[in-house]
Amino acid sequence: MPGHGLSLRLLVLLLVASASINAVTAEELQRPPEAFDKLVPEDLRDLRDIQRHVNRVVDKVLSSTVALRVGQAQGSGVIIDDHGHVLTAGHVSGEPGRRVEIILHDGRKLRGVTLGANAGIDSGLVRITERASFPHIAMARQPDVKRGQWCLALGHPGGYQHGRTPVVRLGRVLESHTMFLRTDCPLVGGDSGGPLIDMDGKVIGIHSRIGGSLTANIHVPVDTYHDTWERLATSEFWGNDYALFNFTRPGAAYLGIETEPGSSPPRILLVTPHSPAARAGFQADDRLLMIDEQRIQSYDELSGVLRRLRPGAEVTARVLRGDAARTLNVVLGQRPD
Amino acid sequence: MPKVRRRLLWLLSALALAGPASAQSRNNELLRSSPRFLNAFRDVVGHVSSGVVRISCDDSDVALGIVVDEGGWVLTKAHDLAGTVICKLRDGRAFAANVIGVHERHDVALLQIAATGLTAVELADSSGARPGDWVASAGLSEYPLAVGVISVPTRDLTGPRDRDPAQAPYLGVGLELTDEGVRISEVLAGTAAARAGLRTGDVILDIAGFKIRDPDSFVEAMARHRPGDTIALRIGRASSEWEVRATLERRPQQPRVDVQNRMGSELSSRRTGYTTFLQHDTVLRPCDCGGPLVNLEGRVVGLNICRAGRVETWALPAELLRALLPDLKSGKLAPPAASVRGAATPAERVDAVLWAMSKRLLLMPEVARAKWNSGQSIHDPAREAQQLDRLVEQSRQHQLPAETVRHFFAAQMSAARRLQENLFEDWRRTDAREFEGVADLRDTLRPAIDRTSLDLLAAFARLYPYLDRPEVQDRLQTRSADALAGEGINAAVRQLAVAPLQKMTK
Repeated sequence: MPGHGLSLRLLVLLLVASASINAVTAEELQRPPEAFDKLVPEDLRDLRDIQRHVNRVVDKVLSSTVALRVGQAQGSGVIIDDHGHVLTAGHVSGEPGRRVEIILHDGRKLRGVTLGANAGIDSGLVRITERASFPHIAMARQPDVKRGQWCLALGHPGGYQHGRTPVVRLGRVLESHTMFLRTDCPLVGGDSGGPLIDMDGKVIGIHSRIGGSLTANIHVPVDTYHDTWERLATSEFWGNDYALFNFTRPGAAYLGIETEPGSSPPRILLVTPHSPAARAGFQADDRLLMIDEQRIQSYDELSGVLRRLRPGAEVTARVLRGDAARTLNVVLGQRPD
Repeated sequence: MPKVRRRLLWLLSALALAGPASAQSRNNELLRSSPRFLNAFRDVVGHVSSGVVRISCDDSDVALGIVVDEGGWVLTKAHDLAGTVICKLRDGRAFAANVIGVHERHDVALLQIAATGLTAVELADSSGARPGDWVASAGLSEYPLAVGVISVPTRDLTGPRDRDPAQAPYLGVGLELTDEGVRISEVLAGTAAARAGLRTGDVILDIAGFKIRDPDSFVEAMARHRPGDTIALRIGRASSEWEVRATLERRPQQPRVDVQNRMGSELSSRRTGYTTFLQHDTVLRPCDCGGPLVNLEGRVVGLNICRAGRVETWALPAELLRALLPDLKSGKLAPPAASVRGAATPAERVDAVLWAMSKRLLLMPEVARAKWNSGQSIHDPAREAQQLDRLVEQSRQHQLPAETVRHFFAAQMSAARRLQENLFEDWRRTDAREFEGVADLRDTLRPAIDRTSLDLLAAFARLYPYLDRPEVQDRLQTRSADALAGEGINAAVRQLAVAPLQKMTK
């Protein structure tokens, strides 16, 4: 729709001309009040203290949350320095050197390019290439992210929508690992790459993926961006060769199980009803030992094997059920949307 | 529509990193749904919840409602109302409700119940709401049903839009290619397909003469039409062929075929077409929509209108509700009088007359308030005579005797006067002042009365031939008290309205 694009650009130019540059003038945040240390807020006073502080954090971070358009895909991101580095998810930025459109909270659009990504942990980096002034917020330094800690999720669920500011959600950290954070801040498609923020107003994670329940919202820990900064900034692409992305893409080979994170060999938590795994007789609590003659010791290895296989392929799987190993015959399906 | 390649980078789904069970139970205490968490909001919703009603239709809970006036006016979500509407109060009482007005676009309905001792909820304003503000969704208990924070303040989508206008016509089906042809694998609720009566399993044979062999030819066929077009689909169902007509609509702004949005919670059946709303992250059951959304100051900032997706619940802002109230009260937005036209048996015809009668009477308290404010007298002989002449004129098409019509409606008018006199007495006794937000007598109330009078005339005409049947007289005897109830309606009013039906002989 060429006419549409034109009018949009026109409007954006006007916005650029009229927007006052909001370069991180926000005052330093005060210490989070004691209410945040309690298991849950206990009374109206706690709620008021939390609200007052959350309002300040939102004010500070909202304008640094951006929408990203990479090719035909949309995700989110967060600007973290005045060089224009934007943290996002690896499956949003994808391969290095791609053109990116960065949409600021006020609708302003900037050009950028994808840098590096670790497809294994799903971290990615983008840089704004246009000379412009933009707000940014800090990454937390080696945050000691604890269970129960309060956090804010921001992003563009469903993709950028004109007139809608980045969407705010408040929640708690439910699980903290070196490989991922889990929170009850609900996420959905389009949020990928958006920031998870602590009560100091700093980035502690980047939205990555979700599970079936509202408490299965998974974020990439910010530490990995510090630890691999050189590789990301120099456009290196590594990490299990895109396993995560390809494995879960609609149309890819599909088994229909969910596994316990970090378990080795992978322990099955859930078998999707009517899936290839269900038809083959997989059960919850089975440990997956082998598929298509390949030994499986981790989730990543499983996704690596599945990635090489095609929907419709007939393969054998070995599972450990109780003390006994069994062989199951699976006809792989096609991953549904 | 077949799924077009998504433009969004969907989060990688179904990796479900759920922790071990022990961690889960420890975590449950932290969650916003935990009783301890909700307990902190007691003082926030306590006073509001006494003005919340539970609304059920045909024995299942469909929504909550907000009492906006002690006289029995209740605001709620309109979309899921069907059949007999019952409002249950916090104290256990239950009342049949009349649907007085429905605003289609905003999905809000105004009900009237004949309850006394109600506590009205004051509608405040959402304009001060900031992202991150706590909001509690009040139910009937002293604890909120659920809590969350404002995600996006109130926005209005009615102005010029920059978004892709999505000109493609939309039917609202999922398709799969089978041996029989292109089979409907899913019919999405609230879409053109659902309204047209298409069902899962139907095989689409052709669309407006264009043969459908595969999903691509379906896309091709649809591309020949525009939103708003009515198309004929030939379908195969149960080994025979049928023709179904569907009126195409615009593709919804967000793909409705959205697996991720359905993950984790049930969504409302209607969640598109809203133009003014505020967005919060509360996880709310669809049947808990229709109730008040309260901020930390205990003020009602909105009415929860739909569970829209995995991350969002929408609420109509309180200031919009206040603006809609006069029109909803006036009867201008009265729902179609389906029951008048559909009544078949003599007993059903009696019910239709009583229903239309009560709708007319339920306008009268607002008429009384308008007259109280302006100091007009209740009795207006000139207007009554004019109304009667018009109705007699109208009754010719129903072939009713003029005197019968005159007698019947004169009784309705004296019932209406008695009702207003009852209210005036109450107001004098309690030193009532001027009422606020009252609908305009000439511009809204009188046209509404005229319309309900015509409905009543039509229902009366259908009952008239059966009036001397014993089952009709029995029905009148047993149903009048239940059917005719509401503000200002007492036995005397009821008797005045029903008398001509009982005495009348042909």
